[in-house]
Amino acid sequence: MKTLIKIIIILITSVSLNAQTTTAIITYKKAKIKKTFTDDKKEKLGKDKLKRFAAVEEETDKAANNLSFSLSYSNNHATFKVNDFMETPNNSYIKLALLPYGNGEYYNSPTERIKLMDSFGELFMIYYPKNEPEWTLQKETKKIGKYTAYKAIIKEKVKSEKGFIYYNITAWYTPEINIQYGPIGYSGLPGLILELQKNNIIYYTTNIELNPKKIVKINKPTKGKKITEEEYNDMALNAMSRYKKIRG
Amino acid sequence: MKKVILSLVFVLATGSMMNANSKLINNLTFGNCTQDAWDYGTEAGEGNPVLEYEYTNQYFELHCNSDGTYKLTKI
Repeated sequence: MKTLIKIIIILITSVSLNAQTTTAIITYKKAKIKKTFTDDKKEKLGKDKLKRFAAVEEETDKAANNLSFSLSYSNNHATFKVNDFMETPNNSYIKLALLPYGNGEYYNSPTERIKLMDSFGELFMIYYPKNEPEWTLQKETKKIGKYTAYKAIIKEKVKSEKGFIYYNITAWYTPEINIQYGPIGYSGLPGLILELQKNNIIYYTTNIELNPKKIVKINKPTKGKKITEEEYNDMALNAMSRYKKIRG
Repeated sequence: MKKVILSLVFVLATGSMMNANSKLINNLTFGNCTQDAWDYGTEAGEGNPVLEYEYTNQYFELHCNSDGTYKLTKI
């Protein structure tokens, strides 16, 4: 009898460990780890302007506390976007608080990464390159909730007016959840990204629902002008450069 | 509406996107708020052109009137 119970327990544990997540809803919040408008910008901006901008940043950071984001996952496809929020006179900074990276909607599949973005008065489907740089997996671990998370890093470059700027991105992922996606379109790790830091912004998990009762449907963006990430970046670069020339 | 106007500034300023009317561009004047929007965007975007554009646009939408002056709101 004891042997039978042992076998049943082993079977149940084994089935449970191998259970695949077919759908999921993961909730994230974002936080800023370093202020932009600090005293070191006093000389450049002037005392009054710095004070105004610091106040704007303060209000924006407060508004960001009210934002949450969802990574919806179903059968190897995922979307990441901000959860519905109400814009009221008391939280007028909420759209500014989406920045950076939290605006628009990200779509991931095993072969594609797209960002749907309303910008320049037009709707764009921004396609990210397929040969993106690969993550470097590190040995460092930490506990996030009940999960053991592993560190991975990647370096990204973005074309700017003065050459390339580089972003160090750190992800903490867990192989305990077989979802290879995470916040703001990042993917390609052997497990769910629980926390992601890009420059001075962190997206972190606050809730994980695996195989929820609710139907999770992922829609690939179909409307909008197709553009590559590089072309979109160039468009913004040209716009800013031309303006700076006009302004003198 | 203000977003549209700022977008118009960008569209006019982006020769590669549209046939910009240079005479109109040269006659554009920027109020204090518009100038602040650009400065805020430039600093907050930290050199990333997409972020610079987005921060500028959002700052303008939040704080500026269509003539480039500040809305009567507390900052």
